Amino acid sequence: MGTNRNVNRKWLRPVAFVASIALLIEIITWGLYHYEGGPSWVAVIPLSIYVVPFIGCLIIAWKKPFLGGIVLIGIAAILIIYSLALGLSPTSQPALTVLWMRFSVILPITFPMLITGVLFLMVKEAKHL
Amino acid sequence: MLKKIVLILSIVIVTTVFTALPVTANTAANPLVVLSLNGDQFVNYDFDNNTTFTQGRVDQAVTIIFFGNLSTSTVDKSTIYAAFDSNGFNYGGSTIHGRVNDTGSWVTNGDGGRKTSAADINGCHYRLYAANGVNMWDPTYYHKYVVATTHKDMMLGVDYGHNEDAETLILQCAIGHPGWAVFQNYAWFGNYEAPRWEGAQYWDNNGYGSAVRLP
Repeated sequence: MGTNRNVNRKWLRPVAFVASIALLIEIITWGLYHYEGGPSWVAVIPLSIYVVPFIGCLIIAWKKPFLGGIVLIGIAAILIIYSLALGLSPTSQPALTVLWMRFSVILPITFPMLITGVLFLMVKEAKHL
Repeated sequence: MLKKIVLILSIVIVTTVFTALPVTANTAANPLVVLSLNGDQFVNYDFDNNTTFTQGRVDQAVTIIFFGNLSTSTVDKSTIYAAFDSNGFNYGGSTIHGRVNDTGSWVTNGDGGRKTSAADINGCHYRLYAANGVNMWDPTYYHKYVVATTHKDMMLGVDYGHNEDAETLILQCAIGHPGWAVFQNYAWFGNYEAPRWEGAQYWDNNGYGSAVRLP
């Protein structure tokens, strides 16, 4: 039974790998578009400061899925908390509007990151079935 | 079942990403104002592009004028950039566009400005604008001068703006330069922004521009 489930979930590893590549492309695209003035060569250096360590995280995830999954979920959680904490800055806007503004900025990055992190955790789990 | 969940989540992710991408311009709270200095003119915001100059396509508010006197030989963009180098403004930014009128006709001046953080982790950023890309000329009072927008850049793409804080920080740097005179909240620039979020932009500007006179 356990072996059967293991075989059935072999697809998880390539899916997690593809998801992580898609996440990397998304982060680069998102960073370029959100950089002031839109995509430009000037954005490449600041963006690389974020992207290069992130590639390191993905390499960890490919080699050690459980650790990588935890790292990705951790980064996403920190970004969400940081972004929501920024929403505490004084403003005349209703709290729900501020909450939506902050989530709309950070969710396109953190949501795929959370999903990819969970996928890597599932890869680890499938290995142990 | 699991495959279906993954497929649905993938579609949600792709949809979320593409609806969130094309966000580059900000919207001013009030209509744009053309400010006049003894015949010269400039718009009280800069713009994310060099063709459409509307309230919904602004980037940041104009907050400072750097000017000199008749004996000042050089008040221009490169002089001010060089002076603020010692304050840590060592990194270039992407090009944004100011609208100025020095010789009777409106022109657009693109400028990347200087900022204190390459990665926009917790940085301050200003841009300078002049009709010929060097400086403007007012024979009556300001003589050679340039106008500036100010903002903060924090956590690339997640938090920027805070115009008033950035203005104050740059004025504090200016005070430290020998012979420079700082006039905070010098004149009404008509670009008041109550504290509010607009996506990743945090607007906060008291609407008064400051002036810095170089020796």
